[in-house]
Amino acid sequence: MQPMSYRRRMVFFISFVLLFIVLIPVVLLYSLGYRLGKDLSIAKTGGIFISYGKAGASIYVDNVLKEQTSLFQRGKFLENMKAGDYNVRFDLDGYISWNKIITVEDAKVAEGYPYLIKKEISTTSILKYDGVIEEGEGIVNEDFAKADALFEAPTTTVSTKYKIKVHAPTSTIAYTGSSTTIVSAPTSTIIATKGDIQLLKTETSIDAYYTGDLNAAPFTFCLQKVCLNEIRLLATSSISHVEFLFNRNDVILYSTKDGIYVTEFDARSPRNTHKLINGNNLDFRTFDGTHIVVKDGTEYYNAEII
Amino acid sequence: MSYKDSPYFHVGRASDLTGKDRILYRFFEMVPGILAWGTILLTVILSRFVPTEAAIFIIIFDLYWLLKTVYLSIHLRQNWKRTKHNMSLDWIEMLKPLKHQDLWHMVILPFYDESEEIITKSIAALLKARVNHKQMIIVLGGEERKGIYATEVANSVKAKFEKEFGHFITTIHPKDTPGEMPGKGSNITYAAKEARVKILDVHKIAYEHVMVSALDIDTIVYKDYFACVAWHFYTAEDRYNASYQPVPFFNNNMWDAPALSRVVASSGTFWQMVQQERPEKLATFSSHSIPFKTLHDVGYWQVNMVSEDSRIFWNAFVAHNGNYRVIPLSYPVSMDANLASSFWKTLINIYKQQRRWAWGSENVPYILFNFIKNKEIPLKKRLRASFIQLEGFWSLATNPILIFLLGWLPLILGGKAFNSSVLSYNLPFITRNLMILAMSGLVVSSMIFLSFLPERPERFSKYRKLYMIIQWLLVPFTIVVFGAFPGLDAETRLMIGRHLGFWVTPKHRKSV
Repeated sequence: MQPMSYRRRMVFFISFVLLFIVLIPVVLLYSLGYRLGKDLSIAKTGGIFISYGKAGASIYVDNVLKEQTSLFQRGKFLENMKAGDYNVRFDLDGYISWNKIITVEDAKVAEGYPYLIKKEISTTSILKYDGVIEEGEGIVNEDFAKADALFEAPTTTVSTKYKIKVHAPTSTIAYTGSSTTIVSAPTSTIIATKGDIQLLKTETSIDAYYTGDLNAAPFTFCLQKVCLNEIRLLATSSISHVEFLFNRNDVILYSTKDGIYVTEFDARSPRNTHKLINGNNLDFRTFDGTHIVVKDGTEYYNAEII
Repeated sequence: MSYKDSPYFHVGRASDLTGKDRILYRFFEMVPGILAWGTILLTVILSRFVPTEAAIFIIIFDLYWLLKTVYLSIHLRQNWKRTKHNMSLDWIEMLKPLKHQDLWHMVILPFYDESEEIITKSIAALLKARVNHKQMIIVLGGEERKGIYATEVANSVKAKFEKEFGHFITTIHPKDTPGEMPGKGSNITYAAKEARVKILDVHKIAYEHVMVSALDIDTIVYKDYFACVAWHFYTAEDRYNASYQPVPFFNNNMWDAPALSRVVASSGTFWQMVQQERPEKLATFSSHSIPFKTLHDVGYWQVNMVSEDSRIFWNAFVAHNGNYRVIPLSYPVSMDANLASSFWKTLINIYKQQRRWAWGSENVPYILFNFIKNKEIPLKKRLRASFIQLEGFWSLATNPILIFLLGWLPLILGGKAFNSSVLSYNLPFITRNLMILAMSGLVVSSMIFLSFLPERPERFSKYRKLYMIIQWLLVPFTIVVFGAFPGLDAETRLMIGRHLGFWVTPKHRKSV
């Protein structure tokens, strides 16, 4: 049996070279977001990337189901989308839907990081004493003691002065239609830190400050290609307590005189803000990554919110 | 004056030369490393500063790799069919019409510290080969460096077998010979020269009638190996201007070796099978055969470098002004896969063996340098051989790293602007899908592997065969860790002048 002839090998070789030459533009154009339209025209597209930590959630675009998150793929890339505004809804049974108008640009991917809060928040009282109490005496419940300790722990009160940095590849900054504003540089207090994001409290507002490289700033710190170190989250002085929502660094929980709320950094419309718990002068602390401990006067209760 | 008489012919490294020659050779020593590191650094720099261009390059490269994989697997499949066919032929019958009775087979078996059992088994396999054993010259070459062990083992083995063969001599290669590097090259050259003086010249055996097979000590020849070599020798044009290369199987201990070792060893076999279908890219490797006349003319294997097995081909190539080739036998010999007393030692041995093979990049400066000096070699041949060697060693050290590690780099270094582009989201999907397509060729690999697998020893469960299929999922890991890394290691050492010495692969068989 003879080896493959040189001629035959050359036929293979040239065929593969030709195939390579043909496939290069096809694969590259596809990778760059170009798609073949129904009229055989080539159109540039963009996409939306939605990331969420749980499986089984549904992603709707303009009320059409597009994707579902799964155990192995919790981030979904919606591709082949023409430039324009899309109404994205993120649903999971038992949770409040997350909605956002997301603008898709050609060859760009807009991001969305939904957070979901339970529709029905269950609460459990934390009793002060175990068992039956006689004449106001008894053994203090361990959970109550823990809750007590949570609220006794001092919050960070480091004062800092900072400079606002503006990273602007383009010279124009336009903030129309957004609640995000450039803030001045007053003295502020760091009230929480997660990774390279700090929550700052000033006399009139709660701000988020990004300490990392602006080239890698989260999209929530950028608007129309301009990224800032700092964004104003809440312009109110009546906030008694603020914390990040568990493992998220772009969603915060805060309490005011009339209850406990959750909101996101993402200022694109609509900003998903929900009142979690009604009540006057409530205080809270996050606990165990799944629930918050609420303080109502001298009483405590657990609230499962996610 | 013939080119083989030039001072450049047996150069081992830059320091063997002087003046401008030394500088030029030193530069050529650096070329494989410069190309490999240049590619990796360029990918990193592009990923940081122009990530879009880097991503485009990576996607094109992935596509190239996919097509190359398919292209090579066609050759692999073809050679598999040919090797199976050749193993089924009656080579003795095929030899009958040819005048081959004058041919002597000189078998050189160098050893260092391998056990007598391993040596005995290899020589026993020679006895099982269908060849006139009285026309065989066995040269068992030990090393003085191993002291009395070498002499004792050589004498013991000789006592067992010398009556079975036409001639059987033992040689002990002297240690610390000036101008030599301890290793296989210096040992087999000493053995061949001793055989010439003590056997060929004494018994007036014409050099033209001797075929030398330099076999690693663990080599088990299949029954018709010598007949197959003889047939190819007598039917070849310019028979003395060729070396004869079998397919190296690593089957001796395949059932005992761990999966990583099996995959790495078999990948080596598959590469050699692919090259057997592309003889113009083939150089001698490991166990091979060469006419004694040619060997003597080119001054035997080089004694001052590590990769004597491939260098002997390049010596002959430049000595014959490019009119020299390797004839692929598509007939196997079997050697040991890496196996040590523990899993970790096995891994270390695999790495070291792969690095030694990758040290074959020391041929690159030799080739480039001698191609400049010997202008009698046709320019086309010089350019082609240079490109094949450079591309080969560049691919070995960089392609798996580019494919499996650096492909993600634009996403990490590309910055926010790039990471919000469609291209950045498509890059991992495209890369992954192209790789899955490329890896589907592993099905072919596993089938070919199984078809050559020796019979399962009874002590192994029949389900172990299943592992022999699943093991191919390790390929992405093995080609990076035991392919690219040792390749890059070897080329870097060559680039910075930290030359490797000869490392003897320890032989360990559980089932001897």
